[in-house]
Amino acid sequence: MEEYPEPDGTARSHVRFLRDDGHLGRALGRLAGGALPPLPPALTAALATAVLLAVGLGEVSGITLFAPVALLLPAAAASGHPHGGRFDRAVPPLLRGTEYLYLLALGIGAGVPGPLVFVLLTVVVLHHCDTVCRTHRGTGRSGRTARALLGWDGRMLLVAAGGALGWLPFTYGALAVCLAVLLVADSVREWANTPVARPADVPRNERGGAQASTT
Amino acid sequence: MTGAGAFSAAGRWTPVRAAAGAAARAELTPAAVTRIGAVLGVLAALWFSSGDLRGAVAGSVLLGAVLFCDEVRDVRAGPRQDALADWLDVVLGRLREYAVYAGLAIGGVLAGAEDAWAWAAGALIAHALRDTAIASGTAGAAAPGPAAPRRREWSSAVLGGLDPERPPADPDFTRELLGDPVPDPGRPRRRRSGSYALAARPGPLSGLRAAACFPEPMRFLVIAVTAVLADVRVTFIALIVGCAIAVTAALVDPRPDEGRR
Repeated sequence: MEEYPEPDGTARSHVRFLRDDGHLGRALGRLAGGALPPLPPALTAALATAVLLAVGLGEVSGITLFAPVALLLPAAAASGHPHGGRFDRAVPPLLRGTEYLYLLALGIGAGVPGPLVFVLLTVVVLHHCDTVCRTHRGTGRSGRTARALLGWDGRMLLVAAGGALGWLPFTYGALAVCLAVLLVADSVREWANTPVARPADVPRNERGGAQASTT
Repeated sequence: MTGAGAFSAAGRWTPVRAAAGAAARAELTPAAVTRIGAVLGVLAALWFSSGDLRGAVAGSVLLGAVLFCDEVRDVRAGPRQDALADWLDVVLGRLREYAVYAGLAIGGVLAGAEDAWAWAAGALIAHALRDTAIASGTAGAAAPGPAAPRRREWSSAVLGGLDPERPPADPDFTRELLGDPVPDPGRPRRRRSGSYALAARPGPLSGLRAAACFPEPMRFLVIAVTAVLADVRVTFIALIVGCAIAVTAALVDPRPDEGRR
């Protein structure tokens, strides 16, 4: 979770920003040095996680709750890759889909009230929606907020720890409240300070330059 | 901003124009119209939460009113919008739809569908993945292409000897020299959503492409029809299937103009 845009300033930055990696993912990405392609591990982990969830995560408890997160670690290690491949744009939907399915299956399987699962998913989805808005604006997120949002890996680890300790409803509620407060506070502050005009929407002539002086 | 334009052609339908005129006379800003739409969405969710036929019909009518507000908002909106208002457009649009899902789930539980919340969460996930796939496709398709160098070459050839790599001039100074640009009446007043852009693209498959995006009007239509005629589980399954098709379409055929709703 770094400031946006990244130094290369290309569309690949958007895909990397949309990944929403956390502390662990970024650390593993630095360790791998961008040598790992992002799509194969994300696809493999998503399929394995889906199979695990379909088999019945509600019956799983204790340390085995961390299995889906462990399956996703190779995908996290690919976070340092520039994501310039043709199909690398499929990585953010895969990662997010895995996170959503994990939160849903774990919550429903462990008896967390349905409305609480729905609220947590809504907050996480709105956080991702805010991320998409930021890619359209080309604005970043403050470092402190980015760290507090944990990333997909941090949130999954936190929920797995809550499940292992038997505090799942409390974990879901606390995570939902924290994310909601961070989302509202940071977004309102950020967007209120953003200039009215969006550079991409301003006609070229209005930006000056060669064509402006000839037409 | 909204996908409603794909099916109703904002600005050409007389009631929309009349409502936009009334909103202008009442000095209602586009952001205020957005908030009205959000309130209507929450009211629709409250009606859906009753779980009976009367609530489903009333909720469906209110969903139509939400789409009407979107059309009025698009007609009222200028080419520029405040960053916070733009963000609120997107977030309130999501929130009102998720409120409708929650209302449907409550109604489903009251009607005896114990797993309605799980299905509602599944529909929410499917919708979120649709948005993510479209956003990722937009990011991937927005890579710098050969168009920019061609423009530089053209301007350099016309102006002769001008450094094509020179930085752009100060926009404020240019505006002071040349005045504000005259808006082109033929140009859309506001950048529209992907479904609108896809529907506007000529070709026999444009309508199919627009429908494959599963835009908001189509989702609301699915909700209205299935909530009135069938069980809430059917509603959520139809939403999941539609969003799955949209995800597939976005990944297979990414379009840079695709929108956020």
